[in-house]
This record gives sequence, C-alpha cells and structure tokens, in this order.
Amino acid sequence: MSTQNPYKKKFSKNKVLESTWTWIFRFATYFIILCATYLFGDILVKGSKTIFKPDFPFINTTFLTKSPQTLHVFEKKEIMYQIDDLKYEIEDAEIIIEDDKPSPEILNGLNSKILAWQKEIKVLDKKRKETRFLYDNDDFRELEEPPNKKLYKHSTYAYSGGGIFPAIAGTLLLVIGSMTIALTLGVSSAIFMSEYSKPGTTLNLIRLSIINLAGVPSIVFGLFGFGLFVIFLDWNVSLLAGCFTLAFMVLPIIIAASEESLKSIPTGFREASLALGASKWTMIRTNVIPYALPGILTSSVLGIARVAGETAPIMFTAAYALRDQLPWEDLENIQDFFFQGVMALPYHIYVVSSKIPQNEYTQSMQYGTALVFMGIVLGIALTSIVLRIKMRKKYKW
Amino acid sequence: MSTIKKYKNHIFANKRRKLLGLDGGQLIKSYFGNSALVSILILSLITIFLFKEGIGFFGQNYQSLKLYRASALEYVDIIRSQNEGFLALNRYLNSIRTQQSKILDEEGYTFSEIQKEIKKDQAFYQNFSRLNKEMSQFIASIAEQAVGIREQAVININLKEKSDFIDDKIKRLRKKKKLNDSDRFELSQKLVQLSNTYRSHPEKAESLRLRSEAIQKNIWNQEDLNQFIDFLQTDKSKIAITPVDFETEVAKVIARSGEFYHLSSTMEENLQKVLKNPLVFSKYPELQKSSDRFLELIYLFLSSFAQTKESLDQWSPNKPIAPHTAFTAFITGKDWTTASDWQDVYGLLPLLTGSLLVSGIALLFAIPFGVGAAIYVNQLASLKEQNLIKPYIEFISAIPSVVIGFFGIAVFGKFLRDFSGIDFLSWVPFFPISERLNAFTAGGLLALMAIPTIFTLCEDALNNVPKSFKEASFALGGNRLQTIFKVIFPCALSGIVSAILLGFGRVIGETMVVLLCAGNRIKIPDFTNGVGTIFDPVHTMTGIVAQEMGEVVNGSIHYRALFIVGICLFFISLLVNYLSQWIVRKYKVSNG
Repeated sequence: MSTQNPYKKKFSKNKVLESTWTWIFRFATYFIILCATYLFGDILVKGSKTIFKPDFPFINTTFLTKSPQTLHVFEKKEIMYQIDDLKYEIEDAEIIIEDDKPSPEILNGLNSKILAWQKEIKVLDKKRKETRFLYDNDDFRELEEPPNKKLYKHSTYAYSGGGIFPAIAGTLLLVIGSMTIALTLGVSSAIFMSEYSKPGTTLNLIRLSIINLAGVPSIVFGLFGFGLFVIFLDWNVSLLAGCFTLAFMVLPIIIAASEESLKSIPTGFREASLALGASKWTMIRTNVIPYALPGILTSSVLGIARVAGETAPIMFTAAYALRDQLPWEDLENIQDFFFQGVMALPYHIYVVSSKIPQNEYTQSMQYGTALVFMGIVLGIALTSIVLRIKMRKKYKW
Repeated sequence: MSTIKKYKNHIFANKRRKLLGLDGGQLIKSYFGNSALVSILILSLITIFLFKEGIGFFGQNYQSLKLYRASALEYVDIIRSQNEGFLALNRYLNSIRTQQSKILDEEGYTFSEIQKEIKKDQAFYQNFSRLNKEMSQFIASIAEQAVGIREQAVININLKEKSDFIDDKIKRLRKKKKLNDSDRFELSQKLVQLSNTYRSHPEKAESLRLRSEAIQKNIWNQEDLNQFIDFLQTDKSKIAITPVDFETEVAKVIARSGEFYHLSSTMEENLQKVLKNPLVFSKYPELQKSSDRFLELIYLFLSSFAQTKESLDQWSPNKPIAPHTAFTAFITGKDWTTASDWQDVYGLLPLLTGSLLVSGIALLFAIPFGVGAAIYVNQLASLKEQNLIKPYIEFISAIPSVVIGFFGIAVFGKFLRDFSGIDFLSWVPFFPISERLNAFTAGGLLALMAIPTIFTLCEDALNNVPKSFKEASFALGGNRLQTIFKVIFPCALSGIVSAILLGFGRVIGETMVVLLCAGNRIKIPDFTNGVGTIFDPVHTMTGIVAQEMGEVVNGSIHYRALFIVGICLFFISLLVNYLSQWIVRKYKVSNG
C-alpha cells in the first residue's frame, strides 16, 4: 500500500518552466518600476533640500520668489589648505600601497592612518561649512565690507543663487497661451470633423495626416516655429512665438483625442435629439458636447503636461537663459508683453545642467528646479490619469 | 391673400435673424468649418515651410562644391590625403611603441628600465615621424594659396550683393521719390559724417547738422533725396570688384605640383631606406608581427603614390559637377564640419549613425522590458497589481525629457563610469569606459522613455486578443505558459511590432536626453571596436539641430542644412508611423 499523498504537487518540467518565465516577466516589470522610483526618489530627496527648510515657514520662499543670480562663496583658506594637504597624504599612502606592496604590518599602519585622515577631513569639512559665507549677487553688492580676501577664498557660480520665479512665471504664461490657442482651434476642428463634415476619402486623408503629424518629433516643430515666427514674421525670440509653436505641436494630439471622444458617443443620442425637433447646433450643444467633455478635458490636461514638459520647441523660439525681469515688469506698451522672451523651467534646467559644473553649490539650484518642474508636470499628468479613471467608471454605455 | 400673408408671418415664418445671408445654424457650422480649415492649413504649412527653408540648401551646397573645385581646394585635398596616409602610418608606429612599453611593463620591468629599452628604438621612431616635415610645410603653403583664391571669390560675391542692394535702393528712390525710416537714418548719419569733414567751415558744418536733425524728424525735400542718391552712387562707385582670374590663380597652384612630386620621391627614397632596416623584435613575436605589418602598410602607402599622381594629373578645375552631387554629398557624407577655415562639409551619416546607435541601444532594453512587463501585467498579474502597475508606468511617460537628461548627467553617467571601473569587471575588454556621457548613457535613459509607449500599446494589443482564443487553448489542455507563447503572443504580434515601431519613433525624435547625455562628438562611431562602440560619444540628428540652430546666420547654408536634417527627421517619423499602421492593418487577426 502506498502512503504517498496522491494530491501532492508533482514536480514537472512544464511547471518549473512556467514559474521561471513568470518570474522573468515579474522581474522585468518590477525592474522598470524600481528604476523610475529611483529617479523620482533621487530628485525628490536632493531637491527637497532646496525647497524645504527646517524652520518656519518650512518652504524656501527665496527660491520660489526670486530671480536667478550669481552665487558668491567665501570659504576659509586655512581650512581648505588643511583639507587639501590631508587629501594629498591619503593619495600618497594609496600610491605606496598599490606600487610597493608593503608588508602586512606597514599596510595595516597605513590603512589606519588613512582612516584617521578621512575622519579628520570630515570634521574639517563640517567646520568649513560652518564658517563659509554664501551671498546672492544682490546681497553681495550691498555688503559694506566683503570678507577679508586674505582669509577667505572667493569663488562665484553662475545661476546658482537666488530663485526660479521668472522661470515658473514664464512656463505658466507659455502653457496658458498655447493651450488657449490649441484648444480653441483643436476642439472646434474636431467638432466640425466629427459632426458636420461628410465622411469620405478627403476626411480620411486629413485624419491620417493629423495622426501622422502627432508623431513628428518636437524639435521639428521647434525648427518650424523658429523659421516661421522668429525669422519670417520677425517676432524675434518671444512669448508669442513660443505659444504658437507649442500650440501647433499639441494641435494634432488635441484634434485626434477630441474627435475620438466625440465619436465614442452613441449615435442614438444624436438621433433622439434630432427626432425631438432640435436643430443641429442644439443637438451638439445639449447632447454631444456635455458627454464628450470629460474625454476632451482629459486629453487637454494631457496636452498641458506635454506642453509644459517640452524643451526643444521653445529653445530658440521663446526661452532666454537669464532674464531677471518678470514678464509684466517694465513694459512700455501692451504689445511688448507678447514680444518679449521669457525664462522657462525646462530650458532653465537645460542651462543649469549643461552650462555650469556639478558641485555642492550648483547642485541645490539644479535639483530644486528639477523637483519643482517635475512636480508641476507630474501633478498635471496625475490629474489627467485620475480624471480618466473616474470618467471611465462614470460614463459607460 | 392678406390672411395667408399674416399666417406666413406668424406660423411658418423663418424668424431667424440673418448675418451675411447665413442663419444661426449655418453661422455656427461655418465657424467650425473655418477653424477646421485653419488647423489643416497650419498643419500643412509646417510641411511647406520646412521644405521652403530647407530646399535652398542643395543649391547653396552645389555652389559651395563648385567653388571648392574652382578654387583648387579639391586639388590640395588630393595632396593632403596622401599626407593623411603617412600620418596614419605614423599612428600605427606609435601604437607599436605603446605596445612595446606595455609588454615590457607586464614583464615586470620598472619605468626607467622600460625607457632604456625603448631608447634603442627611439631614433627609429623619431626619424620616421620627421620624414614628412617638409611635406607638411609644403602642404600648409599650398593650402594657404588655395584658400586665398576662395576668399577672394567669396569677397567678390559679397561685394556684388552689396552693389546690387544699392542699385535696388537707387531705383526705388527714383521711382517712389520717398525716404523711409531707415533711409532717413542713413542719410542723417551721412550728413553728420560730412559735417565732421568741414572743420574749417564751422557754419557749413552747423547747417549740415541742422539738416540732419530735420531729416530725422521727417522734414525733407527733393534736394535731400537727390543728395541721398548722390551719396549712394559714390558708395557704389567705391565698390571695386576685381574679378578673380581663376585660370591663372589655379594654374599657379598646379604649377607647384612639380615641387610635390619631388617631395614625394624624396619621401619614397626615405621609406625605402626604412624598409631596408626595419624594426626587429627578435624576443617578442607579437611585436615582430606588428612590425612586419607596418612594412606591409608602407608598401601599400608607396603604391598609392602612383594613384595620387594620376588623380592629380587628371584633375581639372573646369570639370563640371553633376547637380545631383549636392544631394548625394549630403546623404552619403561622412563629415559634418562647420565654421572651419578650410571647407564646410555637411554630411548626414555621422548624425544618422549616431541617432540609430542610440535608438538601437534604447530599444535593446526597452523591447524585452516593455513587452515582458506588458505580458506580465496583462496575463499573469493579479488584479490588484494590474491596477497599481498600469497607471504607474503610464505616469513614467509624463516625466519631462529634460529631467531625465539632467538625471543622466547628474547620476546615471557617473554611476556607469564608476561601475565600469570596479576591479571585478576588469575582464570586460572595453571597461573601464573613458567618457561619462556616451551613446550608452543616452540609450539607457531613452529606454526609460520608450518603455511606457511600448508597454501601453503592447498591453492594448494583448487585450484585443479575443478571450475565446485563450479559453480554447485552456480547453485543449494547454497551460498558461503555452497559451501565452503559442496563442496570445502570435495573435498580438502585429500590435506588438507596431508598438515597438512607435517606441522607436519616440526615441529617434527625442532631443533633450541625447543633447545632454550622448556626448556630442560628431564622428561616425568606430564599429571595428565591436561591442565597445556603444560607449563612444556620438552626436544625433535631433541634437545637432538643437545645438546649432541658435547660432547660425539666418539664410546661410548651415541654417538650411539644419532644416534639411529636420526634414529627414520628419520623413523618418512619417515612415515609422506609416509602417506601424500598415502592419496593424495587414496582419490583423480576425476574431470571427
């Protein structure tokens, strides 16, 4: 008589294969999530050091309300020399260890020495941070007596002081301007294409070209905007040129998405309305647009995220690397408002990450800007995703 | 009769107010119709405008190529290419030298001992590198001569344009008899200049100054206009164009070929001497092999002399250039050199290979991860996991590209270099990598951008496979893995391929990440390095447009070249989109 349990899980090649593949796929999925989370985490942790601070009001208001400035740093020469000396000592010791292959006793001695030096460096570094002075350019100019040049080493870092308010304002203006243009044109075009026009080859051709234009790289739109607005129409690098370029970039996306959501409304709605004697416009106004609105809204929110996030189209149509005036300051007449270049967050990130070196002083500006920008764009995107999930549940037919 | 009229007015009357003969409904319709028309016009304008700005490139490139030949720069380039051959030989010799010191180092010699050992062969190395000293001087002087011819031609073209411009202006003034803003400004400037010359007649100077002020305030008469025309005519007469006598100038350059042949033969003699006493490494067979190869290369180099002579003899400045060369030189050009004092070259290949290399690396990661994640989420994950993972991955697609690029500079590039530097991985032939920013850094980050696109579309494709297929497979006793690989995956394949294509489209059009992280070196990556090529810095099509567009002169050949690169990108993206739609249409699995 067999005592074996007949229901015991049997080992089979197929099952092993299946679980191996499941684990491979699972690994792929979670690896992606891990990578993205690391990116978010890195920027969040390092950026929040710039944006938040430990004392009241907990938010670094200077960073969010001021213009970018040059940062002046004064560090005590004495401490810096000490640190440099110690670093040389460590290097020398490491070279000895590597090249001469000393006996274990000497090796241990050297290693413990290196450790002691490293500790000393840490202490000194802390001291350096406590004794240094940081000034923004404005503050530096107002100083009655700058720190003694004999005692302190003076170094400057472009863009690293002050804040990013003009960039935030510029991005908001660009988004508002371009979305106004894109939505007015895009939604009306979609209504015409889905409600008024007669289906046929021409319409299909137009639809096809719109879908294809949605996939054209953003830099090509930038090129187009530069050639048309900046040079041909002679608007120079200006807010208006940037708004139009961005608007034309999202226009195909908005038209395609709006038409999609208009089309998804059952024909019965339209027929019922017309059967009750409504005119075409009344039908559209009361029975089509209200139901299509959530879809249009979602797609336009996604469009906002895209417009706010793009750098390439505004690089040479609207963005200045540095402009400390706010867009509404010092205007002689009203049209100057539209024909001025602005700072924008994405371009500012590009400038601070490619044009200035990476070190402890520039890092706070770089990460702070990245965090603010990512926060804005992802906030908008999140709204769109949440909206879509909610709408999907609400409207089902 | 009147009753009918009355009823007509009250019951059946069309009471709607009309505007421009259209009632409300029609007005609304025409509004929507017009905005649709505007959108379509705008979108077609993009295409037209790109072409309008770009197409002039080929004409300008043709002119530039013609001038290149007419001013004998091409002739000098043939001579230069022979010298390049020598430089390549010298580089090879240097590599032998490094190899030698490396071998000695591995055998445990100290630094000073290696120096001593190499010193024996030092004379050979030095003598060899000095062989082309005179040749280099000769090339520098002949190049200067050729550039001089071209400069003169370019100056003449500019002067011609200037004089044409003045001609146009005079014609306009005579016809319209009006001064516009810029004319008045110019005239008043000229009057002030003239007044400065009347030092001895302060009264006259004063009156001129007053006139200039009046003109600035738009008070002027016919006399002023005539004076302006006089000024312009004197300006024009000052422009003296001395036409370049290409024939004699080029003949002067060609006349120096005797000098070149003489130098070549001296070099040949010297190289023959080298061939007679080559480097001998009796102890090291590896080095001996390299040395033998070096001799072979010298033979090859010497045999190329005849060819150089032949092409120099055949060269003529008047040989016509086929118009299509302007196009082929761009498409197959291996160099992209701008703002050089020799010849600006616009070749697409280095940029195209860079773009393709970066996209290839990105897809290498994005395909397995994106498709794998889609299969997992769609087929294997629990509902809870699905609801979390799907929005999260969609969320990744919203990360702005410039933030990813910044992450690459600040974190990922450094991480890669440090990672390749650890001792444990030193067996990998191309580790440690030298550049922090290279094709791999950019590709790895772009993978993160392509994954959401590929994932979302793949997931849709898997979702569209009819449920009955899956059920049928289970009913036949297939397990989950068999169902996925043999039923669902093949059914969704067309959708997956189109998803991958769209991912590729997204990656090749991406600008900021490659601009920040690809290293931006304009050179075709050296594929002889094998897999190590992926760690070379590259430049891409999108990157070059973003980098150079801000600094070009409007309307110049460089400006138009960038537009042509933009057009190429435009067509690549259209092609990718079209292919992806075609695949979906062609291989659609019917669920009947």
